[in-house]
Amino acid sequence: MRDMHKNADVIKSAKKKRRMSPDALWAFILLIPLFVGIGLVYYSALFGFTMSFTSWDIVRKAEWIGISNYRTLIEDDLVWKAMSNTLIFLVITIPAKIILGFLLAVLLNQKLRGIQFFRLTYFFPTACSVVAIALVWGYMYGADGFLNQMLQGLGLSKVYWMDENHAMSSIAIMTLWVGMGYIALLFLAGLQNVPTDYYEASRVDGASKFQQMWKITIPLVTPTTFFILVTQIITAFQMFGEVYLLSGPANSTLTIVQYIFKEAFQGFRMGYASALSYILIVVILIVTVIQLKVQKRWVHYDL
Amino acid sequence: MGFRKMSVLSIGFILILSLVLAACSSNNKSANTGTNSGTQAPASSQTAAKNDGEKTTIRFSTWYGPGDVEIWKNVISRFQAENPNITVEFEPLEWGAYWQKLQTQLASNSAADVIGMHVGIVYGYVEKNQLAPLDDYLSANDRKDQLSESLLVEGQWPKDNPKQYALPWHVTGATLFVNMTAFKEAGIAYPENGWTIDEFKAAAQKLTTDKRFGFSVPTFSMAAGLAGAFGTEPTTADKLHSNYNSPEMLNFKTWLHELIWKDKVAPNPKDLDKNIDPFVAGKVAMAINGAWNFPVYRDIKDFEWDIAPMPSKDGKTKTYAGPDMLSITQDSKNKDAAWKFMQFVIYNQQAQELLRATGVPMLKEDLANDALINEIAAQKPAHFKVFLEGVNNDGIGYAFTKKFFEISQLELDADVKIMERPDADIKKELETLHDQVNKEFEKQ
Repeated sequence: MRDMHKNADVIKSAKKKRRMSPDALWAFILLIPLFVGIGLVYYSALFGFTMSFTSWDIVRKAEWIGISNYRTLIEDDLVWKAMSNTLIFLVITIPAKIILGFLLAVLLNQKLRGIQFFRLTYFFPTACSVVAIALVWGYMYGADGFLNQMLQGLGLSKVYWMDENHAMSSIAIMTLWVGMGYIALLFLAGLQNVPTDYYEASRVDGASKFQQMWKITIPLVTPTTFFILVTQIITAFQMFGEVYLLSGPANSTLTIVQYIFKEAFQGFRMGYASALSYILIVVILIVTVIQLKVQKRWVHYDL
Repeated sequence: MGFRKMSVLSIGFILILSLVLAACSSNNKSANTGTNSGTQAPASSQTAAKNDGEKTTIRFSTWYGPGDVEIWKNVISRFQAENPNITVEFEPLEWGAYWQKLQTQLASNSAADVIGMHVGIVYGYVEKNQLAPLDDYLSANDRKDQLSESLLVEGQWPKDNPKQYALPWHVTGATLFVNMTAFKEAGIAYPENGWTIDEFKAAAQKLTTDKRFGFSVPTFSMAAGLAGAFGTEPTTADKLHSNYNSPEMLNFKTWLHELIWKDKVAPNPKDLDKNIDPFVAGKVAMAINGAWNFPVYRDIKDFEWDIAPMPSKDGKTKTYAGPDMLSITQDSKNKDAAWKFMQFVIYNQQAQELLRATGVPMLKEDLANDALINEIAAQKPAHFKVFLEGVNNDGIGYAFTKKFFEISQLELDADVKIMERPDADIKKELETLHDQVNKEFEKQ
């Protein structure tokens, strides 16, 4: 009798091992939408790549033209203009965001009453709609806008904020104002993960605040800095909303994504826009791979 | 698995499934984001209106200028009062956004039933089979003779065997607005018999003070009338090539440039705030603007204003003018109802008495009605007839080609380099523009 029960238990156990557990089954079911989404993304990417070898206005049938789109974009002055504008924007905003975001995070890391209010205030622009922000800054940058009225009130001459020569920097300032809070938040998380033991030990050894900052804080937040650098470079390459809404004249603020949008949805040259998109993907990929390779030299995960 | 865990997972699964299904729902339902001046009818397209009184909803989309949205809403209200079985969903969009969205909607078969159409670019849409021919509807219309042939022709294609694809709903254009209070202060008489560009420039010089300029240099299609007086247009007569390198265009752009930098009667465009109308703000005493501003300008209280004849050069004067049009989309499932709406808008006095407020009367019976013309003139501008005569006798278009949007953007970019720089090499900039426009024509 005992043997029969023992055999029944063994059989039950074997059956249990063959059937998927309820938890695993639910996990699989809940992951289906994600797989569908990923599938759609890869399908779209492949479709776009194929489209880059065609001439297609989304109304008539696509016509295969081989690498003609890629040859055209090499000779297209606007592509080089858009790429150089994008790189200028990147060079202006990313170091500024990182430095100012870090300094802001250091200030927000103080244990002061009401510090939460300031953290919220500086993060608030990140949560605002880019349309609303661009409209407000557009009014501020107007020839008779708030900024020029302030300058003239101080006896200074007005600045042509949105002319050919200044438009890109004006948009960079706006982007800095919007993004600084988010960067500060990321650095704040990084700062709060720095073990206090290092500061205590350095204090005992007589280190100054500056030395603590330079030798402890900055090295230990390099993983956060690296994350910010990689993501912000990708974001900078993909900049669109701000320049679309607050355009400078004569292509002075034309970015590569904006140009892709123009070709696709204003010119209805889908094939050409796809080719431009793939060039952008390759550029972002190269830059990201370089960053990943170089990070070993300067990113410290501990001291 | 515990009951609680099962419940949480079930709810989570249902939520995710709902999101996926919602995201994948039909484009037809998601196309409508417009306003309804009457009832809150659903946005989905329905079967065609029939005489047996079946209710139908049609969608109507067009661009709008200042004051247009209210006018259209009133027109739609009047139409719906006469046609209670037809509901019109109105989807107004700002000019730039309209043309972008229209192309995408047409490509995805989700465009409105009735769409705004611009003169001169109808053929691009006809070639892609996106507009429904209107000839059968027109032939049954007993008021079809109310529109002149010159207006009908703008909506026809191809020219050798024309079919009607668009019809005008109003005629409008650009006119020279003048600050009459400033005129009186400067002792300048209104140019009743017209004026030359030299007389015009002299007036601009008298009108320029330390707080105000005499004139603001027009751009885009607003400059078409003055350019016409100089004997030039952006494209060649066949509308297939650039005309920007012509000597006449160089003369025109140079004259405008000198108004800013030599004569100093016009502001540097950089000094004008794009968010403020400089004429309304009193910063310039004369400006060429669209006649669609009439309803809005009637609210100006700070000074008296009127419109003046376009200056002439060598006896030639031109007024930028043309019809704005409506079409029915080829994919519309409600063509009969759509035509009823179009017919009302174009031929019915209940609609036209509202719509002509942003331009000039276009029906023959209205053009022949002196009392009506005087009534419009009494509302301001007082010299409304000047604009009417300019439109009817000396009308000129702009670069109305398939590449209209591209050409206008290229010219705007070139104008930045010409008008905003005191030492601009105008000839070089126009040669560059000429090459760019021709390259644009060569693209698909």
